[in-house]
Amino acid sequence: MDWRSQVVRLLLLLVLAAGIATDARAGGSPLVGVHVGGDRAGIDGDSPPSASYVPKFGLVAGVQAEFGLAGDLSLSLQPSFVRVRTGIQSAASTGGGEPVEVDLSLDYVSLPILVKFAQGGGRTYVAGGLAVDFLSGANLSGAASDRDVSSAYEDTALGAVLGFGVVFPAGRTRITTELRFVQGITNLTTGDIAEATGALAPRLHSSGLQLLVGGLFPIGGR
Amino acid sequence: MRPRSRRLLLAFAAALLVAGVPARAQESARPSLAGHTFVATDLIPDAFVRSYVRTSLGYAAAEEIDYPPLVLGGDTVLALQGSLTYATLGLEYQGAMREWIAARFAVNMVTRLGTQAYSLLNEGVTVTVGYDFGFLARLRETPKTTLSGTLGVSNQTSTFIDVRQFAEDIGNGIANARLIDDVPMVRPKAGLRYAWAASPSFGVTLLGESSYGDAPRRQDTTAWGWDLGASVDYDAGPKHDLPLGAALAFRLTSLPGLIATEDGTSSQTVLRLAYTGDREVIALDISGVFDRQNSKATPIFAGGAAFSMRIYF
Repeated sequence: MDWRSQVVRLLLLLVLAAGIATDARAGGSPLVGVHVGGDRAGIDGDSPPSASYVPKFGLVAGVQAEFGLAGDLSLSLQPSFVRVRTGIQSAASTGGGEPVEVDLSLDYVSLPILVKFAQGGGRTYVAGGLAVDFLSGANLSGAASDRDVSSAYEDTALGAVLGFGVVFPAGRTRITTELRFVQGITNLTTGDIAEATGALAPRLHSSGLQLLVGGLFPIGGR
Repeated sequence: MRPRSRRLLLAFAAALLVAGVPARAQESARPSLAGHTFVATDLIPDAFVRSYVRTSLGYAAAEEIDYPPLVLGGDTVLALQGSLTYATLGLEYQGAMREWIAARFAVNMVTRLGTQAYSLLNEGVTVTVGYDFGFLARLRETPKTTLSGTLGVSNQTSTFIDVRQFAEDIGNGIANARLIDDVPMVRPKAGLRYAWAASPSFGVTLLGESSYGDAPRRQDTTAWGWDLGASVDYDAGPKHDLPLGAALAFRLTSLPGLIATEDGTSSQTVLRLAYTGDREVIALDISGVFDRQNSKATPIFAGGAAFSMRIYF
């Protein structure tokens, strides 16, 4: 484990401890739950010559814990599995040929740390924060090839998150739907392959929307 | 940035706009302190947590730019003069979620175009399109002052059509010479804004901002950047009971994004003349841009005008 991962994990522990402490002070019941949804984030930035990126639907699934801060503010931790899928479409090598498309799939264990601002009496909310993503796999498939390209991508990525959600109360359960914009703020690529050929490192960031549906349940008797 | 991404972003921003609920039970929609209502400029944003929508459209031109000689394959071409045209387009939404914090989202486009044959050859065409989003939070407020902090991320793509560099690369036999280059830049940023109501008629706004991320120039991987600015505004309401205002703003930028070479800082000055209603500000900006470009024989000064409209709610 490199020093960056250690620092990130230490920060996450501190955030979790702070969340539990602030929730105890705020006097609310912590909420736990699950969420699942679709991802249309893809990647954005430098593309190979005569090629373009085509965003594809990916997957988001995870658990979440929410701690009351003050008033209608809450801290939400949402460890998730995120699959970001992008098509890389290259122009045909011959005049009348079909373009060639390969599928790049990046799998991350992601931990968004969000602050939620409840609106409209708690029926809607705006969420903002950061997501720390740990790469668990990167695969390039299509055009009669299927290969692991993890070494071309950074192990850790950081993203900014801005979301809007609607809450549907169902007894003690809260059903949530959230539209979230995610913007990667660190370069996804290591640049090693480009630098080996004497070229400048490409710039790639994840960017796009996620639509999530989840359920939150209070724990504790209050 | 992909066109589809822009459409999705605009849809997302529209959803936020529709959903955003102004959190203030405020005495005035427009920002005010101690009897002074501030006349904010687009160059130096105000320090207040308010909900508003802003649009702007601007134009500027630089005449008689002296260019250094162009060298092609060892031959020196005569140095000539040229001119430049700038155009800007902006759209911004800020929604107050609480009395102390607001979320904001903006899209913008800036173009820079050589408008004579020689300047087109030297300057080419630059188009920067992008968006930024983030939060503005009030840190401290006294009866006459307010201090706010900002956090955000900007994502911009600059498209450079550099005819001169392309011709030089071809002439010098460089492989894979590119006429068009798209340079993506994602930069997190943080800053402070300070407002002071000097009197019922006059106000002062200060801005300091720093950013770190993808460098505007390909040769650099990442770069720090900073912006410093100040504006003085005048509201004719208190003394003359007129819905008119003016502001003079100045901003210094360490990383001008519209040029592909190493250029040092650039500065912008804006004189704003505005109609100031209860909730709306409709303004004409007279602007000046000063670029100290090391690759040019003389610095570039561009002058122009912009139309801007801001509605608070």
